[in-house]
Amino acid sequence: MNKKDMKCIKRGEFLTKLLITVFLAGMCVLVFKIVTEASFYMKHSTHVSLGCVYDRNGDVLFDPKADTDTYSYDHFIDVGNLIGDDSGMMTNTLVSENRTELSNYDPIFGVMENGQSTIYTTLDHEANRTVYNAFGSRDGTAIAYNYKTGEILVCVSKPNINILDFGDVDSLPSGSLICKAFYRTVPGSTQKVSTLAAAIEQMGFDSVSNKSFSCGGAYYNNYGNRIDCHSSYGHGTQDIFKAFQNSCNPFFAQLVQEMQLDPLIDTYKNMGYSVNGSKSPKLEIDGISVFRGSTELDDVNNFDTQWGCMGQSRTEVSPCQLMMWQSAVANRSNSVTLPYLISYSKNMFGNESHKAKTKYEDAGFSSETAAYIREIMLENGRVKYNNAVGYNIGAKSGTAQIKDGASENNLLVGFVDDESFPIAFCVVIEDNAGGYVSTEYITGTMLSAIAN
Amino acid sequence: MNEENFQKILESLRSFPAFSIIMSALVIFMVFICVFAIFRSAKEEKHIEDLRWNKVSDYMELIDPDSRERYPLSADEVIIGRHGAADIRFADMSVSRYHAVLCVSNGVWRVIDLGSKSGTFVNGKRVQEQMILGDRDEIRFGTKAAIIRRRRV
Amino acid sequence: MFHNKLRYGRISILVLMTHAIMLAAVIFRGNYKEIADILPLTAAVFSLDIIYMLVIRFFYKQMTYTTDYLLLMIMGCSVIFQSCFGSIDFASKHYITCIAALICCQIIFLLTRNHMRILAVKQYLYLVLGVLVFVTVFLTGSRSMWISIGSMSIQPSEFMKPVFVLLCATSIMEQHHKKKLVLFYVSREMIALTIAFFVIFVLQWWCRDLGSLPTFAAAYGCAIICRICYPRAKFSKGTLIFLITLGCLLVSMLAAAAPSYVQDRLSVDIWKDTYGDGYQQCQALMAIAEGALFGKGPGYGRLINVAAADTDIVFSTICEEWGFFVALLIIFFVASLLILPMINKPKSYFHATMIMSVAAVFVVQMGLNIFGSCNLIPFTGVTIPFISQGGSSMLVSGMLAGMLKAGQSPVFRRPDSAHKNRRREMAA
Repeated sequence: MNKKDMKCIKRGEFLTKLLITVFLAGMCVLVFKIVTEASFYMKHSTHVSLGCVYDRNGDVLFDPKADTDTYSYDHFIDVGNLIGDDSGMMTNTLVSENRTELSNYDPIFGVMENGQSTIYTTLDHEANRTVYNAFGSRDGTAIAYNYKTGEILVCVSKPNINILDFGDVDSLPSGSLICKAFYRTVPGSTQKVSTLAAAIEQMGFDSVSNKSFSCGGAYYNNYGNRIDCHSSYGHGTQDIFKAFQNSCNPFFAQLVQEMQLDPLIDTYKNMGYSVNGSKSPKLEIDGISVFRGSTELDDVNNFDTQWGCMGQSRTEVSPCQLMMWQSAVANRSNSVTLPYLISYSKNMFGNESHKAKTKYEDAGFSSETAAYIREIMLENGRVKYNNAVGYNIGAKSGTAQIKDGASENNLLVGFVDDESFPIAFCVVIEDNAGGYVSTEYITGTMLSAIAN
Repeated sequence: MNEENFQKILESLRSFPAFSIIMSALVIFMVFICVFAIFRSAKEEKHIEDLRWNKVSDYMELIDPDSRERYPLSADEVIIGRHGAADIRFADMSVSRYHAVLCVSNGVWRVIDLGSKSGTFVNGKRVQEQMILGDRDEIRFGTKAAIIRRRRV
Repeated sequence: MFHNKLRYGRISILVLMTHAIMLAAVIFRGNYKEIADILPLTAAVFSLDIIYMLVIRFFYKQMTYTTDYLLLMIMGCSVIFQSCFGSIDFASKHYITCIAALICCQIIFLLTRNHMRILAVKQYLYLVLGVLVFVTVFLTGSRSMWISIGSMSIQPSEFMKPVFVLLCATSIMEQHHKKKLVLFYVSREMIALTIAFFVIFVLQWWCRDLGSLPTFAAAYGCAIICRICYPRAKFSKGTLIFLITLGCLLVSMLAAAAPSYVQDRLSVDIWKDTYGDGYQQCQALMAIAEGALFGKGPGYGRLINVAAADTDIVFSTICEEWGFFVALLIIFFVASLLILPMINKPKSYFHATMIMSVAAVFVVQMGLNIFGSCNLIPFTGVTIPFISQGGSSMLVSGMLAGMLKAGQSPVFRRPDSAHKNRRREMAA
């Protein structure tokens, strides 16, 4: 039977085929859309059972089924705003940014009720808790990591939130919901490390070390503005080592005055600062976005620019970034060790799916510069901190005036000078004008907690 | 007791991700096999239907005596004309674009003139409205002649 | 009426096996407490299969059975799908409508396979349509499409579909009764069809049933294309393109002039408001993602808690429980129903146009449902033929399937008795 079909019938068939073809084309679009957007849909889904997050010793940091019956009331208080929870109210936390890793979901097999998705972090929960308690009644943040591998061991932010008992969200103290180590803070004199790096980059170490400026408690700069030193008696004539130990403002104001603006801005930008509104490179730690630093520099003779280089004025840096520069200094290297929180994770079938690797980024200054800064900081540590802390550290302290001088934050950044205990850290104690808790105490507690 | 064992076996089976793949594949495979078997039957039915159509259409076909070309009549209404959309096309200027329709019912073919300019004739007689066609009748569309006849089976 | 002497044993067994495999999938992957929970479903599916096969084998002899077997298989799968939503029980209501749809299919098949009879009563079809419109306007609640009779609710507008499809079907001779109207030669039938479509359009617009509107529009559009292209191809390609652009312009103008609640539906970012307007779609999309390729297992779905889970977003519900691959089978089912008349081709223009209109209705309904629930196009409440729950839509789908079957086994006999007599004379 090889008859020709009548054209009238073919016409109807053609239209039917056309309709089916259009429909199938639509189906292809749908398949493509669903394949590409499935993980986006899953972000909104409330029907996934998240896996647990563990610390480096197997202690639980996050458990979706956690309640006060299975965990002590304050089990999660030290990591609440870093690890987050599954309520979807907190963003930029480990759980919220790594939900896909933790969600027992696979685009091929879908949702698994009893999957084995797990995240193993680098944190040391015991040390974290110790540091949290060491803050006592003060607020602040402390972060420490291994400057050789990048593992974050301690990351505390206070006030924190108890994910077992939120209470009234509106009445939580401000700053409870964010991990302050990753957000902006006024660096105070810890900024002098960056300024020192810029100065050595620009003038060379010999030139910087040969410079000596005098301090009489206050200094009138080229434009006649008065730069006060924290010691009203003044520090006399000092070289860079002495000035760094004294954290002498007139010295650094005069140092900045002798620098050229453009190379200064370039070094700052290379270090990651956003200078005068420029864009700083993005920094993320396992999906958690981290603020780097920002400042405004317009004229080396200007009062604001000089204070900006001393960590006041419009300068802001995150504690995490302050700590990261210390890794380059400690390593005498031109590259910064990038920190990470997730050591490895398992997918829902229990297979290892993500293993962390140590990564580096350009520090913005040369390894020689790093080595010189290291010497200066170690000298500072030896003179001022080693006894109090109990370790050989290179360090720089800072006192940041906030709220227009109404309040003071104490900072301490530094690193441990020990190849077998390579820890860089940054401690911020907020509103600590009376020196109720010292940064040295927190640092010492932290380091010994990590060592154990 | 038996059921408990069964449930246990099910539980262990379900923990394999491959199990869901196998089950889905089986369902899809079976549906495909089934539908394609139905398609094959449809082909057989088409054969039967064609045979039945032969009966309905009284085994008739149209023959162009000039070119000896045979035109099957495989629908119950067949348009004859000069236009490209006509089912049977005669490219003769005396044939109107839509000249006439051959239609069948109860096994009887008839020719219906569609108001053509040059007229339709069956065995020389002009078709006024419609006319019943018999075996080996000569139909003339304008000056173009064609023969409707029973196929030799 | 004689039997076609073909053997259907193989496809009977294959249909039974398909259902057996699907039930096995339910047993192996399903969410139930005891095996006994699945028994009613198993018994119902297999008894329907066997009884229906026996009936069509011994009591109802026809020339074509492929549509029946395909329909039977789809119905069985549909009952299994519907029974598993949320947890495994037996969707008895859906089962009954499935049987009713199968019966409807046969009735419409017997009615429409002789197109001459339909053509003879075509003017009464307009009357039927008028009655349906009247019923929709006056007997249903204000602007609703439903009539409640006891516990049942019927959607009379749904039954306009098969009537309209029959009106869209036409024979060549009918097209040749033309009159000159202003510029074009137009057949009376085409004017009547256009008026009928316009009435339906106004009715649907007034009732805010914007889901059914494209269905009718598609059937009408295909019918019009067939009519103006053939047999009087007076329209050149340029004119056709002009007409299509005009149509597109008209649609966009309508969209622009549409009332605000329609506008809201046309442009809505569902992810901005996952618990508001876009709730159903968001949940549907999430369910598809959660089910992924192989599904959570029958009965483990949670989409059943969302409104219209077994009708408007049924595709997602099946995706969640059975997986994306199995859900795609639904499309394959309906497409294969439409492919059958392409294998066993119709023998008359009437049946060809009828099948085309049925295809338009099926494809547009599927498209609106699936793409609508997946946020490719605005979400409208339409059903997938044979899969979605719903009495009226199920019956109508059965009727349309009957028309598909009619095209494969037509009868050519004039209804008038004068002709019969003449034939007797000839035979004598």
